[in-house]
Amino acid sequence: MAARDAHSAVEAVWRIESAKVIAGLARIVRDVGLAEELAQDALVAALEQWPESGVPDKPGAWLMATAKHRAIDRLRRGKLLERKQEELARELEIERETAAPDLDAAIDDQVGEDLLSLIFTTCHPVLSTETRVALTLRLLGGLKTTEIARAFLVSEATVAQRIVRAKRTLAESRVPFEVPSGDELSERLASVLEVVYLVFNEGYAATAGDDWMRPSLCEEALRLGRILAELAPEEPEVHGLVALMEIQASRSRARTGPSGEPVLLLDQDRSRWDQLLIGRGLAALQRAEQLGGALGPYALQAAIAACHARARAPGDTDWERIAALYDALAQLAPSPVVELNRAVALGMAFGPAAGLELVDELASEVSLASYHLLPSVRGDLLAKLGRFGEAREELERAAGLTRNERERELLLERARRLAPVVASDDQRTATRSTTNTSVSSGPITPPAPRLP
Amino acid sequence: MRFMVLVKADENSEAGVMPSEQVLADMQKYNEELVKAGVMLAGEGLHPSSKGARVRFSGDQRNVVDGPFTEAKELIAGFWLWQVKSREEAIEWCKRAPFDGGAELELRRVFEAEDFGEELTPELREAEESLRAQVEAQQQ
Repeated sequence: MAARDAHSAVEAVWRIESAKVIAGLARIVRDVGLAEELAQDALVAALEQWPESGVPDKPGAWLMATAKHRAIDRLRRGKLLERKQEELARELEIERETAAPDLDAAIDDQVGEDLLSLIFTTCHPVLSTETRVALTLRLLGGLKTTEIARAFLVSEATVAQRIVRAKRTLAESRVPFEVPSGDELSERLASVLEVVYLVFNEGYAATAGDDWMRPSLCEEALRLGRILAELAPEEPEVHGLVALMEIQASRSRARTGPSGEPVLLLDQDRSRWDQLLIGRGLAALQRAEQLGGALGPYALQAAIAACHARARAPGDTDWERIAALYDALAQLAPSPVVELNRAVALGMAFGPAAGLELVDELASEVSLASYHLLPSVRGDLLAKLGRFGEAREELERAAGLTRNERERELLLERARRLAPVVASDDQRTATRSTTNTSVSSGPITPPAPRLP
Repeated sequence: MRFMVLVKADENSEAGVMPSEQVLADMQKYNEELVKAGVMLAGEGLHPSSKGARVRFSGDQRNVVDGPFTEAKELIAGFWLWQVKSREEAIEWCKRAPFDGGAELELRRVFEAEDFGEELTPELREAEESLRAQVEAQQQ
């Protein structure tokens, strides 16, 4: 086998097995940092030996056994706990006896428990958010430090430092390697989901010219989410987050126009949406709903995304349901941005006056004072009410606030085009027809501000 | 990246012979592993070609030919659609499939037009981040 082939084969195996190996070791040595070092030792051994010997039949088991032998060596040298040594030796013995294949049902539950413990540890609230992200991608995603650095546009040294610090903090804080239970579980789970969604959004925000590592973060996050959904199938918010990510990712092909310009949701060519991902997203949302109880913030956002995904055309969108879902979200996770989204939905569902009422309440919101989407949304609602003069002022104000050149042009264009030409008795019909004619000339319906 | 993995047909699959219980159990186990690893997007088994048909195109003509088709090795009996990081990862997963007896899998990479475009430009993102920071500051 050519060395290069062997090398990429080792990488592929590492991708599949590393999290399981690290998690299994961490359970025994009770130290995530040490567990990763041992796993790395095994990786180095594989890189040395596999080009000669070929990839073993059960590469995962090989890596694990090698790492455990290293662990025993180290523990002996360090004269550390005898109990840990015994445990390791016993496990190695059992593995030899049962000749367990990589996919053995008997060890499945343990592997799942270990992986879950690992993800709860790397996402522990004792760590800063950026540290949690780096450590999770490294230990669960099997990403190299360079890859994480490229994806987050920071230096490799910064990422390396974050990971070192994270391991030290976990050791010093004596964070137990376990799946939290009881009251602690929901808070800790929220921390895990936050990390996964943050990784997703980082990838989603990447632009066309970016290094491919950035957009690939979406795939990493989806993978982590899908794994998590199998590990914790009874947690509705896990399925909610997976549903949200699947549906958002389904639109990735439609989000940009031919020259790389952003295309807003209602203007997107829906035939370019990925129906496979939509189907997966809707199925995940259904699982979240079937688990019962009130929907959490992720499931609610997924349910909103699902309303758009189900509509074959923008005019088919169930805005009343979206408005109701934003109501629920506003109560559960109140924020000015959620309110602004709710205003857009109310305007679409019950006419511009209803939306404007809520937007006017937000006018005094300090955090939105320089947010261009507030005047943009308000201008649009005013235009639909036929108050063109005020509408133009708002759109121009929005143009002055945005830092994006292309968006500024779009806003000014919308302001210029405002003339009292469309007058309809039925505001909702007018709304929909303007939406449908706006495809080529830019959005008339305001973009729904993205949630924090 | 996505790979489509094609399971080649053989005489048994073309004859509609159902796999043994053991084979089915192994396959189910394998599929579970793929799901647990976050790799599996979709996968289906296919009926024999005798239940299918081919449509041939020539100018305006549409010629429908009913199955079965003879060249078993050219036919497929099932497929998976996987999300993986590399071709090597897809190959590694293939090697773990519970097949035997000369069975063959074929991996084909799926075309993905500009996977992730730019909806949020750097400027927009910056604006959103500063808003996020403000909102957070306010909530504290």
